[in-house]
Amino acid sequence: MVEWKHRGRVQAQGGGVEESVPWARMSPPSDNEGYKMLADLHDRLLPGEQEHREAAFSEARDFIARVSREGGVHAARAAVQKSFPVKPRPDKRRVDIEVHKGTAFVPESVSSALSTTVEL
Amino acid sequence: MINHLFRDFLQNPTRYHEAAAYWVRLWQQMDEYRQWKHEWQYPWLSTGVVAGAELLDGNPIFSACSMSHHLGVRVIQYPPTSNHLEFDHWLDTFGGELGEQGVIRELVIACALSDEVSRRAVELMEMWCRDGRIDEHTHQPVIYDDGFRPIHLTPAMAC
Repeated sequence: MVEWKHRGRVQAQGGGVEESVPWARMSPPSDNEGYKMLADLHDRLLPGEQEHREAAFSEARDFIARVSREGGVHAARAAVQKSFPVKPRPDKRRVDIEVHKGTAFVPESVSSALSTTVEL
Repeated sequence: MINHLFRDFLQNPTRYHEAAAYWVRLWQQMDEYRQWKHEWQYPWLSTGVVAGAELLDGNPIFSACSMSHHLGVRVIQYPPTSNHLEFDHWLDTFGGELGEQGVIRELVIACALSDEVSRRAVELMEMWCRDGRIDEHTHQPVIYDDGFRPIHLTPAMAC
């Protein structure tokens, strides 16, 4: 069984929705791949649910942009579990980013280099 | 009127650490014997390590876990967006889906910290640690009108 070095998922929950886009791989996902995962997640929701969560998706994208500028986010001491709830209305609708193991959202250039190394 | 606490915690690292310490004190005020018996540990989750340092983004600002009881608590704090109570909670799972081995059931609290939020958070965390469930009948969610003003439910309205 393959022991993936980098694992996690992006997820939309609340309001009767439970959709997720996971990753499990040997090289860390890049920032662009993170944005793509969020876009895929967004596309899986009904228009009304997309609309409810626009601010939460925006916060999740901002998080990816922020950590990417610094080289990515690492689940070093413990897993990273972040929720971006729709505020201020407390309806439990949210977008989650979970990094269970390894690193995520490295800059695209770093990700390409790492992918090449892994393939070699 | 809501008395918000540490409203500038994201602008000032010292204030951030004070806010984090405040949550630890709230946690420690709870039933010490039960926490020891169920081997609760904190911190549990990470905000994420970026450029060699933990992110100070309040997401989460506090977390604790009992591996023996497969229960967790995660608190997300954000700056106030209004002068009204901002408090939400939900149940989630960590490490897989319900029923899978090693899965942690977690209580998640998302809030702008205030005196009233502290009281509600402790009430919920105590209930969760004691019973492993949240009784929604005794802990009514706050309902907001279209202007995000809290509507205080009378018993008749709640039914």
